[in-house]
Amino acid sequence: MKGERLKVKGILILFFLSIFIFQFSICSAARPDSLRLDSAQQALLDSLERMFTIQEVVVTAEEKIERSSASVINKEAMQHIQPSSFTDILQTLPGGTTKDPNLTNANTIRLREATNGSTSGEYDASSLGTSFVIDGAPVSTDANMQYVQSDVSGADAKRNSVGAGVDMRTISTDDIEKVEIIRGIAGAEYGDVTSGVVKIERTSKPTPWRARFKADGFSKLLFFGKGLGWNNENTVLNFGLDYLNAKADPTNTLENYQRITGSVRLQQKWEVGNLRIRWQSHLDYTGSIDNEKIDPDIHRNREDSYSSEYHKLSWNNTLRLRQADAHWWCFCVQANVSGEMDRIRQTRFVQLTTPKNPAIDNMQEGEATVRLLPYKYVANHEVEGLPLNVFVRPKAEFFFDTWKLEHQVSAGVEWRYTKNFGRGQIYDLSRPLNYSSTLRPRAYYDIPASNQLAWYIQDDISFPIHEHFGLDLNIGLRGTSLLGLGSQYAIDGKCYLDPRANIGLNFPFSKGKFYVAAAIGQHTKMPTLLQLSPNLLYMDMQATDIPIAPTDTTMQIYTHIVNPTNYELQPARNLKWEVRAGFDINKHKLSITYFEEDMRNAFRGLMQVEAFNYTIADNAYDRLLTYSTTSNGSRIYKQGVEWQYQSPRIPAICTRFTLNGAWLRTVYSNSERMYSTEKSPGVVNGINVQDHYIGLYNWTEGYIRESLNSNLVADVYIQRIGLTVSATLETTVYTASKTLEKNGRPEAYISSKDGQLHPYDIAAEQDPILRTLIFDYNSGLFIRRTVPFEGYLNLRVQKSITKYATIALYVNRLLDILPDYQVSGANGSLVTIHRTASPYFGMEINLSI
Amino acid sequence: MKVKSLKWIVFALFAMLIVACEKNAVVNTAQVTVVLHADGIQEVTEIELKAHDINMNKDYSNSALMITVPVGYYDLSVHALGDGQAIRAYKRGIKVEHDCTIEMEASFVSGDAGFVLAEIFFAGTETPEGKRYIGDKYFVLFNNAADTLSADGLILIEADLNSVQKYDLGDHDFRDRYFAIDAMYRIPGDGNTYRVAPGQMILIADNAMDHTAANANSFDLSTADFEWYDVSSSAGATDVDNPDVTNLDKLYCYTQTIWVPHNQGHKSFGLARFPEGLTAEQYFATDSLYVKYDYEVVTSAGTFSQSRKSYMIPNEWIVDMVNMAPSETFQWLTSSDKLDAGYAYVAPTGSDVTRFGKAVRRKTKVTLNGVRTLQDTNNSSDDFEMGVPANPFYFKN
Repeated sequence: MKGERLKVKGILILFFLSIFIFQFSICSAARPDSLRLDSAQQALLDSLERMFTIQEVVVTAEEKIERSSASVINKEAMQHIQPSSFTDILQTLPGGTTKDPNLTNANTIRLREATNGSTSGEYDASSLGTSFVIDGAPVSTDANMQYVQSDVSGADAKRNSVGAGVDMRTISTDDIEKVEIIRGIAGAEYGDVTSGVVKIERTSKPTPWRARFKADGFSKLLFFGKGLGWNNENTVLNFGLDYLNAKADPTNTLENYQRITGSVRLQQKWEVGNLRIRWQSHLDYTGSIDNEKIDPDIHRNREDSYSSEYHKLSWNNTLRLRQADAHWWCFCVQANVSGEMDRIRQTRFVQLTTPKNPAIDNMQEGEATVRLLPYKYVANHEVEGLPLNVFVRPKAEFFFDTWKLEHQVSAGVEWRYTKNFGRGQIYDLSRPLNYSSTLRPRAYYDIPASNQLAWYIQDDISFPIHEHFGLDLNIGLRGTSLLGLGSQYAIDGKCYLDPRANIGLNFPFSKGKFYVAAAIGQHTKMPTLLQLSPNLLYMDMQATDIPIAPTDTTMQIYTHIVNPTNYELQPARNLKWEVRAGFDINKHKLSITYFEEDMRNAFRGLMQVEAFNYTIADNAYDRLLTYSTTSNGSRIYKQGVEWQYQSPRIPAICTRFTLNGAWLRTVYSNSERMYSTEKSPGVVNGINVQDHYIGLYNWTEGYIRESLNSNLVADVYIQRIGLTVSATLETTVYTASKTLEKNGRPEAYISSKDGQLHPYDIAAEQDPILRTLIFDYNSGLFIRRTVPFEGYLNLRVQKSITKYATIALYVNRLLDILPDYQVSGANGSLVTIHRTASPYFGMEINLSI
Repeated sequence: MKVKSLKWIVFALFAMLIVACEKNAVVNTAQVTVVLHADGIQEVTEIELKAHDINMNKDYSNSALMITVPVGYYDLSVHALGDGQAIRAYKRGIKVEHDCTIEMEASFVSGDAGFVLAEIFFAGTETPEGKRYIGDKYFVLFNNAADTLSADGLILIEADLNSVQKYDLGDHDFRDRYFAIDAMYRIPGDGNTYRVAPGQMILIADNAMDHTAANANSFDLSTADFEWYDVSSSAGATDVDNPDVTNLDKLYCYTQTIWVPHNQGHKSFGLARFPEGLTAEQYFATDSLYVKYDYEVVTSAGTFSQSRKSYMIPNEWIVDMVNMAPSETFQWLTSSDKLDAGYAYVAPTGSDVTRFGKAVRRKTKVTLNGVRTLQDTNNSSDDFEMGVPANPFYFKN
């Protein structure tokens, strides 16, 4: 196996080396020819022109030279990456690493986070708080409730992105003209965001017919598109159609992901008197289907299947008015309506693993008679979600000078409406997917809509103080409120203010400029519909024994209903600051950023405990009930240094060098005390401990992740033969992780007898039952573990074959540098860790007619 | 005819070759002398010293504390009578290169001799539709003594430690003194309630009911003597209680839902008895039997230090111990090798799907007048038949 892999790698290396050598020879041979043929002046002009044109092609992300850190990825760079979905683009960010497309799992975004090791759903606020803005309209996922509620570990678990923001698989890249990823402090016009903003601008200009066909080991992608222009390009119509089919495993056609996106975009410009009017109207459809089935040829479980459909129709309108002859003001209204039809269908053949079990279908508080489940049945579960999102934002911009200051003031008001009209979890309670679950269905249309009203005002001030010294300042304030929730919610009607400021100093001189900048800003993300209005919880207790006689098929249960709504829930708020410095001299661009972000009240499910007394057949019982509510109990603290250097394209070798990287350190932890039964025993001396005593721990639970990445990209662009080759040396200098120290001694404990918290004292420590609430953790658990250097060479090649066609190919991990390393073994010995990696290929053809 | 004769010639040549090899092969032997330490024992009689060649899978034995064996790796065991009572000693993995003296410590066999675990069915069954069924697990206890014994107070225990995940306990190794448990269910009674005649069995089932209605591949356990019943906190996962069958007293269990004996056979099972007069309250209030210990888990990614707390049963309280581990993934004995020097299994690996419906069953040593005596050398590798089709009534007379 290994030998074969090496052979494949060897052949590939030879292949690419020969391409390199061939192209270099053409490149260098071309020069003296042109000198001989033309006059010296002409030659100078030619080479200047060539220099100019080859400079323009940038196939890596560019760091924005502005006050706040942002990466800009243009169309050429995207074509060079050869993406299947938006996820693939993120590898160009500082600290980004190349990941093979994984299109049968939800892909959520993690900006500025050390991503070694997975993070749990308790820290989803990070991706939830990253706003995707497509052609000016934010994508809302607040009404996304597409999950199979009783099946947390099945096919659905890896695919649902409820409460975790945008699933980037659904965003196709072919119609995108430019992406700007604001990692730092976004302007005040961007709201409902904590982590960052992904601004996507799509093509809106006449283009030839374009077609793209991409294939790699796991997926195929097909795209057609065209841009038409009439009336001196005052009317532009773009349309595109894209189809993606991906499999989890190339040999398994039964687990796959399919996506279709279609887009029609119209732009119309008028000039009426002194007014210039631009109207953009975009109609977009995205459909995707996740499928997972069992091979019907296999006798067992052939009924089992899972499919998740997503259909979204979005209509985005922007109307912009501005003066034709002067530039004093500009007025713009944006309105976006998007509706989704989402449906999960899951079927499973269920057979009882234990002799008998009741079907829990009582919807009322108190005692009820329930029937026993049959020994085997086929369970059908459906989840219907029909989210509707409306976004309306009128905004105005004014341009004026005061004294020496140039102002660009903009202000706007926005309204976001989110509602889900779906029927929710639909299934027969007497034939559940998971019969031990006591969850009950509910219709999503019963959940109140969320109305978010926000306003913002910001001023961009330029202050050219001196010929060699200028100051740029952006200050903004944004207010966000959730309206109409009801006065029981603490969040209702309250205005949350996000002040944000960026300041930059420029030192321009003839060949470029130096700059230093600093920014600070507060960011707020409102809770989602599900976080605001969780489903009622049903606590079911056995009231009578399960009957043994086959003829007797009913039993009694006692149901207690709990409303887990956290009326005190606050929005998640992230305070970010950063300082930056850099230069842009003779097209040498350098930027270094240090940042910190502290989100202390991110959303997490936190265990709640309450004592409950009930009576069954004149016997009084007391017990503790535990359930989870959405709280503000997570903390995500990010810090890091990001850098990017980009050289000009060096004419002699037609090559540009880009060096980017990041040191990232992320601390994920809880920020509130918590109840825990993590190491509680079940039954001690006949007493069910967790039903009667639960400890409250004032501990820090969580982990630290750290990484140092550096990527060196050398890209060769030879215009005359239409070749672009980039080699990326992607290195991770180290990654480290550490579990935070935990104090397992409870601060207090709650007892089912009185429902009160009691201090955990010496007496409790000596009590045979209560002493089990002390959880022991070995200090060795909290050791920082590092993984040393790893490096890969990735290659991307694009070649124009004719005027109309370009072929492209990429290989991830063509070469790998994975030195063995040692970790501590038993009794002070050392264990050698041997790492391996395998390459990943993809290729595509682009036609442009 | 010709072909046949050719065959014979080839065979003869081979035979000659083999004989020649045998003649030429020089087998080095060595004499192993055992020094047996047995505290308080005056006289040791009826010695049987057994040496098991680990590589050749060959046994040698002698009736003195001295044996001559080919050089190699050996497991040594001694069975004898110490002052008239059965004693034994065991040592694993001894390298015999030349004449040597090995010191071994002897212990009394089964302080509370009599009851043994005769059949353990932990894997559950598979339904005709290919789904798992786990409600029909059972244990068969057997009176292996010559007298009628009371089963009252016998405690069925499951190991807290896992046989396929070795912990490096270092100085904290408690196995010579304690057995760490994760479940403990006791047969009720006042000392005279459940009397078992020699050669009679007790069937303890998870659910004492007819399972064939739910799963045609299962058994009718409705005539079981006892069942373990777990009051569940949630009606969504309920245990079935047969009112006609006595429940075991649930003293301890790691889970607050339903106890399902480890279905991959990674956990040892045993029988124990509290000392006379010790109540469950007193047991759970004994600090020295609720032990925190540190250990290291060695994985391919390095060594991880952990802490754990377990309830402990002193080895002296243990009536019978059967270590369990799949044959290929076995890593260590989670009990003292004085309690059980080997282990039993139904499959080579824990996740082997052929394990369903299979049990481990103690070998019958002798049947006299219709009464069986089961083999109990405190070495489950020897004492058990592995992976037999489960039959809860195999030992029923």
